[in-house]
Amino acid sequence: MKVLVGTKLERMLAAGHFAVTAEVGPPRGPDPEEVKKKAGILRGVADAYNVTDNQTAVVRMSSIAASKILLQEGLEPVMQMVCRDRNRIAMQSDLLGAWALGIRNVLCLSGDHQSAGAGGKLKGHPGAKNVYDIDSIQLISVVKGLRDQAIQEGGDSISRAAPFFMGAAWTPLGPPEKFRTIRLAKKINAGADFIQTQAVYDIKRFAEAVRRAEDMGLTDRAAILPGIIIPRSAGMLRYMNTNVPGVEVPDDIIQRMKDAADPKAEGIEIALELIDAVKNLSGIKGVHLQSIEAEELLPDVIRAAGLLPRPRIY
Amino acid sequence: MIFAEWKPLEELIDKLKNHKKVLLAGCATCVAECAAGGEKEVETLAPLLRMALQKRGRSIEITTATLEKQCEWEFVDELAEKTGEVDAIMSIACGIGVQALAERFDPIPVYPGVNTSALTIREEAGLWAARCAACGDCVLGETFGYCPVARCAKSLLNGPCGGTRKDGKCEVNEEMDCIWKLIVERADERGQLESLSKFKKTKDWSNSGHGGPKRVIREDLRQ
Amino acid sequence: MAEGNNMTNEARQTDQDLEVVVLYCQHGVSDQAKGSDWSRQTSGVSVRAAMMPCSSKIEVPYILRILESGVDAVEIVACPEKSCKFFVGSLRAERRVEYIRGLLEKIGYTPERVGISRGLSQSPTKLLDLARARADAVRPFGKNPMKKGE
Repeated sequence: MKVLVGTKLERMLAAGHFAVTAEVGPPRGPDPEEVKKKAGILRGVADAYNVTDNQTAVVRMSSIAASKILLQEGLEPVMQMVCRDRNRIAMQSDLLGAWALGIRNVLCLSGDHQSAGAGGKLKGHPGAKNVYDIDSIQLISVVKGLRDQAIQEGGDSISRAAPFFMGAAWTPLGPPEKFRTIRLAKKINAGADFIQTQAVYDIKRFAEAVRRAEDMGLTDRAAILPGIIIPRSAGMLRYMNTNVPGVEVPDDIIQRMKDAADPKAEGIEIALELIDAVKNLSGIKGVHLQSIEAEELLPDVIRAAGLLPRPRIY
Repeated sequence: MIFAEWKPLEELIDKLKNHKKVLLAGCATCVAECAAGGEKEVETLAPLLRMALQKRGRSIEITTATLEKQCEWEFVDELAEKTGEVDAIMSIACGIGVQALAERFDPIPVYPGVNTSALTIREEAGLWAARCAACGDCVLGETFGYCPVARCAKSLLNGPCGGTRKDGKCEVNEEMDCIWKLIVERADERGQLESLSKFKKTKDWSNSGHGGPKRVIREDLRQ
Repeated sequence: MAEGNNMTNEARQTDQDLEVVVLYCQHGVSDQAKGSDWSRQTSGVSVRAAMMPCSSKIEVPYILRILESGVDAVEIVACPEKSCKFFVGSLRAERRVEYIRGLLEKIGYTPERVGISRGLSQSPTKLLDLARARADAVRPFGKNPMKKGE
C-alpha cells in the first residue's frame, strides 16, 4: 500500500502493522478541557482517534474543532463527517478548513437521521430541516476530487490539492446482505482507503462477509478495521442486538454477560476474544475500538490485547 | 395526490374565534382523496367548529362550499357569490388552494385549515404513504420503480445505509421497509443487480424548489 | 309513569329530560321495531328513532349535525360484526363512532354523547333500553352545551 497522504494511520497500515483506532466522542458542550481529558486518557493507545460528528443527531462540539484539539494534544484524529447536516458546499469548505488545521484522516458517513436524538433519551432536534444533499459514497468521491485533482464537486478548482486519507463505514450484516459487499465495493471504487465496520460480535457471520469481500479483491485495496464495542452489561448487548441495525450478538455472548459475576470484567474478556478473533481473520488489517461514554476502559483493553506499545514507524 | 391533514382543532378555533361569519371552503380533488378537505370533511368540520366556538361563548356563522379544484381560477371564481359579508375564509384545500383564494378574494383573510405535507398514494383504506419528493430529477428509471429520494429518510442514491433492520424495516421509521432493500431485491429478481453497483453521482437539486421558487412558462400554451 | 312494554307516550317531556336520538340498522331489529321514525318519552329521556338501511350508512357529518342541533346523545344500534349484511358495515360504523368521540373530546365535548351497541332482532323495548342507557351515560355531564346557545 503506497503512502499518499502520510498520516500515522496510513503509514501504520502501509508498514503491515495491525492498526488500532479508537473512538472519541466530543462533549455536549463547548469546553475544550473535556476533549483534553479524553486525550490524556487515550494518548498512545491507538494510531488514530475517530472524532464523531454529532452522533445520533445530538449536538456536540464539532468534529472539526474536537479533532483540532486532539491534534494539539499530540493525537492523530480521524475526523468523521456525516451527510445529514451539511450540504456539499459546507462539507467541502469544512474539508478545506480541516486540512488547513492539520487534519488528514476523514471518515465519510451517511449519519443518523435527525429524528434519532440519542435513541429517544434526549430531545435532540427532530424538527431540524433535513439536508442529506449528497450520500456517503458521493462524499468519498468529493474528497477524492479535492485530493487527486484539486477540484471541487461543482467543477471549480481549489488553490492546491487537499490530500486526505479517506475512510468509510461498512455494515456487513443486515439486509439486503447480498448487497453489502457490493456497497463496500462502491465505496472503495469511489476512493475509500480504509473501512471501519459496525460493531462485530458474531465472528462467524463477520468472517463470511469478509471472505466475500476478499473474493472480490476488496481487502487488498482498502484496509478493513472491524469495530469492537466493549460490552458492559447483558442489557446493553440485548439492546444493541434488537435496536442497532447491523449489530448481531450471539445468544451465548449475551448469556455470558448475564451469568457473569463481574460483568465489567467479562465484557473486557469478550472484547479481548473478539480482538483476537478478528486479528486472525484474513483480510483484516486492524481494529476500531469503541467504548461509548467510557473511553477510560480502552487503554487496559488495548494493552491486554497485546497491542501496546504501538509500533514505531518513521 | 397532494396530501394534507387538519391542523390541530385548537389552532383553528383560535384563528376563527374573533370572526363572525366564516366561509369554510373545501376541494374535491387531492384533499378529498386524502380525507382532509373534501365535502365530507367540510361538513364534518363546520358543525365541529361551530360547537367548539359555542362552548367558548362565541357564536359564529359558518357557511360551506366545496369547489371542484382550488387550483384552477374557473372554479375559484365560483366561490365569489358566497363571499359577500364573510369576514374570513378558511380553506381546507392544500396550500395552493389557500393562496388562490387569498389572491382572488383579497382583502378577505384566508386561513389554512390543513397542513399540506406530502405527495402520496393511498396504499389501502386509511393509509397514505409518500411516493414523490418533487425533486425535479427523477431516478425511477434506475431504481426499479421505487423512489429513494422520497422513500429513503436520507435520500440515499447509492444503496442502503447501515440502518436497515433485521426485519428489513428502516431504522428511522420501523413501520417502513428500507426502500433500498426493495430496490435491491427487485433488481436481483430481474437479474440486474449489477446496475446498482454503478456509482450514482451527486444529484442536481436545482430543478426542484431547492433551486428557488419555481416559475415555469410554456410558450406554446400562452395566450 | 308507566314505562316500556306498551309503546305509548306515558310521560310528558320535562326540562330535565335528555334528548336521545337512536339510529338503528333495519337488519338488526325485529319486525315489530321496524318502521320509519318514531319518538317516545320515558322517565327522563326523550327518544327519537330513525331506521337506517345499514349502520355503515351513518356518516360523520350527519351525527355531528344531530349533536349540533342540541340533541344530548346519539346511540347507533348496529348488527354484530359477523352478522353485518354488508360485511364490514357495522365495523365501519364503530370506527366512525370512535372517530367522532375523539373529535368531541378535542373540542371539549363529552365523548359519551355518541355510542354504538350491537345486537340482532332488537325489540322496540330493547331500543328504548339502549336509549336510556345512553342517556344515563351522559347524564353526569349535563345537557348538550349547544342547547344553551339557542
